[in-house]
Amino acid sequence: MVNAEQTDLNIAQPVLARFLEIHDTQASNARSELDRLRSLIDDAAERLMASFNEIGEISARQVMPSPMQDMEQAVGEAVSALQFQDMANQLVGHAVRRIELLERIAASLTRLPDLSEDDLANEIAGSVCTRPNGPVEQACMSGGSVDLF
Amino acid sequence: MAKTILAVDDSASIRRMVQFTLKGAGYEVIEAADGQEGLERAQAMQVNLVLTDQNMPNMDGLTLIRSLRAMDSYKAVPILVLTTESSAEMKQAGRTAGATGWLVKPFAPKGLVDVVKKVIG
Repeated sequence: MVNAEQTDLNIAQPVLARFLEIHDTQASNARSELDRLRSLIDDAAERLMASFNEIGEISARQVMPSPMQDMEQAVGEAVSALQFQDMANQLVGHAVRRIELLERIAASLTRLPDLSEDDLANEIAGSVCTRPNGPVEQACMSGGSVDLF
Repeated sequence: MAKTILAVDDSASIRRMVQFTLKGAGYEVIEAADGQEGLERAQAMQVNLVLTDQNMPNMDGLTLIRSLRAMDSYKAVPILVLTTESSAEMKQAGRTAGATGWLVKPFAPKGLVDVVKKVIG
């Protein structure tokens, strides 16, 4: 937790304190929300997977007449859609890491009296996320591209 | 005898979907939860194809590919990367490491089976 009272700044102390208070609250809330989102995703995926497996086992045991081939196609689409958990978890994980970076920068601000400008600039530069877009750029669950080398 | 595919991914749901899809197409599928475990499984048992994610704990996909390509028994074995990563830079890095192909998640079951059939029959 960042504490503005630990600093000895001459400028805008109340403003900095207010900034750090808002930052801490928002970062903490965002982290809790992302944790809840991850729990919901995991729970939903577990339940969907159980139903999906059951449907898969039933369809594998039966000879499929023509109308049942619609079910095969539906199962195929479900296989694509059920990969959402992996992609959503990667996005959540990346968002959490961004929050952690912001927390590190805010913590650096509280050490301003002990840090030179260069040290602060280096700490901030070292905290900047080198992947602006994160590992997941997909925005829908349709099938991705295939490249054979 | 069914050909064996090693599926390496830290997501249990992806491994399950790969298993479901490829078993349904007649392949044997063994699983590993990260690159390190994948390497150990590949060393313990010769497989016909490796299908690996890129971003994983302990050992990522590109490191796994380089490690496998350094082994005589895996110099010619097809290795496909199945990942959310879709940038040209990452694909090029995969190609340089020795990957046979690059599939971007989410995969469509028919598309995955078609690619696997193409590379190992």
